[in-house]
Amino acid sequence: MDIATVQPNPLRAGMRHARSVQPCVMVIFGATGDLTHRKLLPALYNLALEQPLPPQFSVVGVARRPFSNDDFRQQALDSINQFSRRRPVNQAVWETFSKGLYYHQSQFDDPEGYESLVELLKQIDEERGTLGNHIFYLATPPSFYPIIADHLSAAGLARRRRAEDDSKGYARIIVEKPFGHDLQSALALNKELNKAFSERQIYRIDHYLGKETVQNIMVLRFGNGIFEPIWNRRYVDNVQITVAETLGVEGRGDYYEEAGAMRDMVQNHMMQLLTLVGMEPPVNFDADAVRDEKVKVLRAIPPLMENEIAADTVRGQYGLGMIGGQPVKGYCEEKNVAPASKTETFVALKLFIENWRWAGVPFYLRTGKRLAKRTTEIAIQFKRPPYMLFRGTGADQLQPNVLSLRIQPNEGISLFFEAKVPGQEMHLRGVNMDFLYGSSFGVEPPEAYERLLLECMLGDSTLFTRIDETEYSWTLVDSIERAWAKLPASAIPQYEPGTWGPKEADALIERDGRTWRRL
Amino acid sequence: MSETQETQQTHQAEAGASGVRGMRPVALDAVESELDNMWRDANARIAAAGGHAIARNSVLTLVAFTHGEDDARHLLRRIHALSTQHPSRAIIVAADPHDRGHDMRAYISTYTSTDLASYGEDIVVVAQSEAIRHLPGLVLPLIVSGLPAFLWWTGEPPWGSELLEALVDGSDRLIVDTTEMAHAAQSVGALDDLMRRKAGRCAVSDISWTAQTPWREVIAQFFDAPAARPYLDTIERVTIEYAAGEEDAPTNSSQAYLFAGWLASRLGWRAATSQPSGVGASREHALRDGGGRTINLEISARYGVPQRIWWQSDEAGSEVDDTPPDNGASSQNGRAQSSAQPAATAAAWVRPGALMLVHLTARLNGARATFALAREQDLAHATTLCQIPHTATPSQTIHLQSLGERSPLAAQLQELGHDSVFEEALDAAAQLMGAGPRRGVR
Repeated sequence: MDIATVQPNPLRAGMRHARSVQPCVMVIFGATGDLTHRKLLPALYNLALEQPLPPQFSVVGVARRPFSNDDFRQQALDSINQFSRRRPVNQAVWETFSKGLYYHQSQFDDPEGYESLVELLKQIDEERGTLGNHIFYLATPPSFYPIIADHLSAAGLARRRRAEDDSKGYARIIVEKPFGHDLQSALALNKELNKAFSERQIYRIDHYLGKETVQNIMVLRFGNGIFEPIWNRRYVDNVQITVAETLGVEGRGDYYEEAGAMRDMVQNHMMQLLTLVGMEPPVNFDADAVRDEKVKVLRAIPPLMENEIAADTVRGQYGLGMIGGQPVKGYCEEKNVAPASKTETFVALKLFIENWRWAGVPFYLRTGKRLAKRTTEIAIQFKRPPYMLFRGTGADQLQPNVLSLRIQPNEGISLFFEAKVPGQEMHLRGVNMDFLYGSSFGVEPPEAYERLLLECMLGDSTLFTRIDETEYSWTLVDSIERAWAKLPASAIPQYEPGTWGPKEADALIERDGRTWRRL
Repeated sequence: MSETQETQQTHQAEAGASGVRGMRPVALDAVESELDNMWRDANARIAAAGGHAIARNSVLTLVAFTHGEDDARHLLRRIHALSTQHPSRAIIVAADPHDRGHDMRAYISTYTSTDLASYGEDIVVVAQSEAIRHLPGLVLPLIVSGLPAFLWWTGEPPWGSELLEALVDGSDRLIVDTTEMAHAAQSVGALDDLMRRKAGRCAVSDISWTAQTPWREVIAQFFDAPAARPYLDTIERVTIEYAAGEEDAPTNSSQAYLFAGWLASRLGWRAATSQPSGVGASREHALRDGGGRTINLEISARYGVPQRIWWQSDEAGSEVDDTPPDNGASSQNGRAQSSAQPAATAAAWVRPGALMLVHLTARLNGARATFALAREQDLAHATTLCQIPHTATPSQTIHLQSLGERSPLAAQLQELGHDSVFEEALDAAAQLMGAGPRRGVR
C-alpha cells in the first residue's frame, strides 16, 4: 500500500488527537543507558497507555551487551516501574506493549550488526505491520553519532530524501544534545549526518522545547492580544533569564569538564528561551515558520567582541561550602574533574538583539550549578512610569512592573504592579498577581520526552532545533569561549554554594543601574 | 493529581453547622460576602503559620443540579476530585420536588489541598418544591463574571420547563448524561431538540459521549493504517453491545446509539427504514450509504454487567482515579499476567449502558476484514482485533480509564464551544432511535 495515496480518515474529525501516528519502529541506540531507561522507555509506555500508540508500534533496543528480548523487556519493565509518572505498570497494557520490544546486540561500528538490524526490521515490518517506518534515536555518546549515521546509510536504512516522500516508509533520526562542541564540530557533525540523512529527516532534541511551560511562552505572546503591543523596546526595560540549579555535577564530571555551563546550558536551553521571548510572530505554526523567526533572533545577536567580554560576561566556579546545612564539595573536588579545572559552573551574560523591536534592550542571562534555588524563570521588566503623580512617593521609589514566566518549579505567570495601601495616606506597595498552572489546570503535564517523541512520530519538527539555529548559537558561544580562553584562570571567581553566584555577576548588571531579580 | 482528593481540607466546619455537613449556613443574600470573609480568614491562618497567601485563581463556574443533600455530597466529592480543569466555584443545587415547602437555604465552604496547589469554593443551595422556580434568581448572580459557566444536570432534566430554560440561557454549556435517564429514546430526542433550539448560545453535551471517547479513538485508529483505510468505505455490518443490568430491568441504549450515530454521521449513512426490527435484547437497523449500499446495524444489550451511576459511587475519586484495578495483581517477578484474567474484580463495574463490544465487518474485492474492540472481563480494559487480508496487525489491550472512560466530567469541562461531531452524532442517533425529526443525517 502506497502511504501517499491514502484517503483522509473521516473518523478522525473532532478527535482529541487530530493527527494520527503511523505504525513505526523506534530503534534506540544506547538501549542500556540511563537516558533510555529513565526517560525514553517510560515516555513510550506512557504514550501507549494514554494516547494510545498504534498497536503495531515497536521498539528495537541496540546496545553492545549480550541481552535477549526477554532480558530487555524485563529491564524495560523495571525502568517503567521505577521512573514512569504512571507507575506501577498496568499489566494488561504492558503485555501487549512489551510484545513490540526487541533487543539487538551490536557494536555501533560493526557493519554486520547493521546487516542483521536490517533483517530484524524487515521481520518486524512484516510481522507487526510497521510499514517500513523507522525512527533511529541516538541515545549514545556524541562521538558515535556520525559512525551510526554512516552505518545506517551503508545498510540502506537512512533512505536520504530531500522532498516529502514517505510513500515507502520513512526514516528519521533523533540526536541528543550536545550537538557539537563548538561551531566547527557542529558543522562537521552535521555534514556527516547529512551524508546519510537530509535536514528534514534529522530531529535535534532540546528537551526544554518539550516542556509545557516553554510552549506556553508562545501561547502567552501570540494567543493574547494584550501582551504583544508592549513586547518591545518602547515598554520593556530589560529581560532576565535565569536557569539555576542547586545540584552540582553529580558524577558527570567528565562530561562537564568538556562542556561547562556555557555549552551545557547557554548554547541550547537558554538560547531557546531567549529566541521564544524575542521572536516575531510566525506566519503560522508550521515547523519552518516558527524556526525561521527563532533564527532571525539569533542572527540579530552580534557575537561579542573581545573588548566586550570583560564587561558583559562573568564566569564562576562553585567552591567548597554548605547547602541546606550539609557540606558539599567544590567543583574541583568532584569526581573526574581536574584539580585545577578552569571549567565554569556559572555564567552571566548581557546580550542585545539588534533589531527594530529590541534595539537597546539588554537581555541578561545567568545560569549555574549549586545556586541558591532550583528555578528557571524569564522576567520581562518594564520601564517605570515617566512621571510620578503621587506626592510623597518619588518615581524612583516605584518598582517596575515585571511579567515573570516561571518555567520550573511552580510553573506559572506573575505580574508585579503597584497598588495603593488602604488608608488616608497615598502609600504605594508592590503586589503580585499570580497565575499558577497547578491550581488552574491541575492535570499532570506529560513529560517533555513524551511530547517530543510523539511529535517525531507525527513528523512535526517544530519543537526540534534546526541546523541554522544550532549554527548561530554556536557562533555566539564560540566568540565568548575564544575570548575566555585568553584570560587567566584568576578570571574565574569562585562562589559560595547556595548563593546566586559570584559578586562579579551582580556588578555586571549593577553597572547598568539594574539588579538581578530576587528569586 | 489523583492524590488531590486525599489531601484536600475544608477550611470551615463550624461547630453547630446544620444542614450540609461541614459547610457554613449563610443568608441567601450574603453568599458572596461570606465567601470573601472565609478566604480572608483562611489566608490569615496560613499567614500566621508562615505560608503564602492563596490567590483566588478563576477558571470556570460549575453549576450542578441534583435532588437531595446526599446527592449534593456525592457531587462535591466528584467535583473536588476533578483533575484537569479545576472549577473555581461550584454551585450545587439540591432541589427536591417532593419535599413540600417554600424553604431555600444556602451553605458555603472553601477548600485547599494541603500543598496549596489547588483550591476552590463551594456553594450548596437546598430548595424545597415551591422554591424551585425561584432558583434562577439566586443561582445566576452567583456565576463568576466573565468566565465559562457549565450547567451539569444529573438525572432527567425537566425538558421544556422555565427553570431549565433559564439556567441553560445563563450557561455556556449544558452537560447531561442520557444513560442516567429512564427513557433513552425520549431523552436523546429531547436533548437533540434543545441542542437545535439553543444553537449559537448554549452548547449541549452528553457525558455518555465523552465516556465513550476511548472507543471512538481506537476504532478511528484502525483506519489510520493505509491497508485498513479502503475498508472504511465498505463496511457491511456493525454490531454494538452495551452493558445492561438484570434482564427484567430497563436498559439504556443511548450510548450505543450515540456510537452508531457517530459512525453514521461521519460516513454518510442514513437510516433506510423508520423502525428497527428485532425483539428482546437486540435491535436491527438497515442503513444506506451515499451510493445506496446497505449497512446492517445490530445493537444488543448484554445483561448481568455490574453497573453504577458513576458520581454516586462512594469509591474514592472515580472521576480521576487512575490506578488500574489490577495493580496489585502483578506477580513477584513483574512479568505480565494475562489481560483476559479477571483481576481484582470485586469492585468492577461500568456505567449503565457502557459499551462492551464494537465489531465491524467490511468486504473489499471479495476479501473480508474485521475490526473489533471488546471489553475484557475485568471491565477495566479492552482489547483490539484487526484482521485485514495479507496484513499483520497485533492485538492491543488498552486501559479504558487511562484513556478517559471514568473521567467524563473532566473532559466535558475542557470543551467550551459547540462540538459539531457530537451534535451530528446526536442528531443521527435520535433518528435511529425514532426520536428525532426526519432529516438527513448529514
